[in-house]
Amino acid sequence: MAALLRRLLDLLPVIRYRVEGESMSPAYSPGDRLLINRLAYVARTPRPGDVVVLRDPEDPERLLLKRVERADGKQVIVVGDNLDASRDSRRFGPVRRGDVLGKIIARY
Amino acid sequence: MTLSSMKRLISNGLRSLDRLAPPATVHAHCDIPCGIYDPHLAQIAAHTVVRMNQLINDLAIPDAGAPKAERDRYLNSLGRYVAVKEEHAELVKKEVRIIWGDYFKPEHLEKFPDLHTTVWNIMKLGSKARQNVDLQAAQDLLAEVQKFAEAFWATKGVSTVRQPSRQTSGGELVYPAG
Repeated sequence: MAALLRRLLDLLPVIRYRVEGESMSPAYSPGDRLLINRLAYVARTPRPGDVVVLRDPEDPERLLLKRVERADGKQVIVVGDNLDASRDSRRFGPVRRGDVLGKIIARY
Repeated sequence: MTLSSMKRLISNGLRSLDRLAPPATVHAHCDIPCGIYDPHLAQIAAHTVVRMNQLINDLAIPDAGAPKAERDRYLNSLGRYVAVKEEHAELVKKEVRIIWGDYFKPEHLEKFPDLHTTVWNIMKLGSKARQNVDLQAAQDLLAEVQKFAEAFWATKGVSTVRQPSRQTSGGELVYPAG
């Protein structure tokens, strides 16, 4: 039942996430629940300031939460708000636009 | 209905949904990619395991008719040596596991195809050193940890030297050269 529910929810354009870690603190803190819009970047490029969920370039199994610093049609540079406690484009360079999965639209 | 009560309603609904199907985790991690790794601690722990075996081997067993205080002293010393041997053999395994899992990358493995075998041997010998009083197992453990340390430094383009440990356990320690 829960598995079926999960399958159905995975089909929706809006997905729930739970935050772990401090790199986006204080804007987003550990334990925060977020909604992300997976269709946000279908028709447009990520904008500086957007908070996005992306695939970790160093570990494809993980998802990261970061803020967009710069973006063009192909690449996105992301950083954590908390520069001292963030692993981001300063370390792994720009990420492919396709690895940015969506934009935060709300906290609940 | 006010906007804020509607928000609360939606929030409560989503929270209930979370209990049924927990949301995935998104990492805002520092994950401390400090890049600070050093096989030295594993070597020191392996030396400690060697030393504990030596101390246990040197420990004189009291005669059957020895006074209680003397037997207690023996048992207490033995207990302490075994406890430290346990702890440090496990520390070797832990330290090596961290470097192996977090530091080593696939391209390193191409240069050191024996790496997994060396780590495997360390895990097995670490356990063997705990299970028995076995100086040879402890020496073998130390030898494998030294090989691991040499591979680690080589991936950084750093050559190594083996120097006398200058510790009570004797033997050698691998240091980065220069």
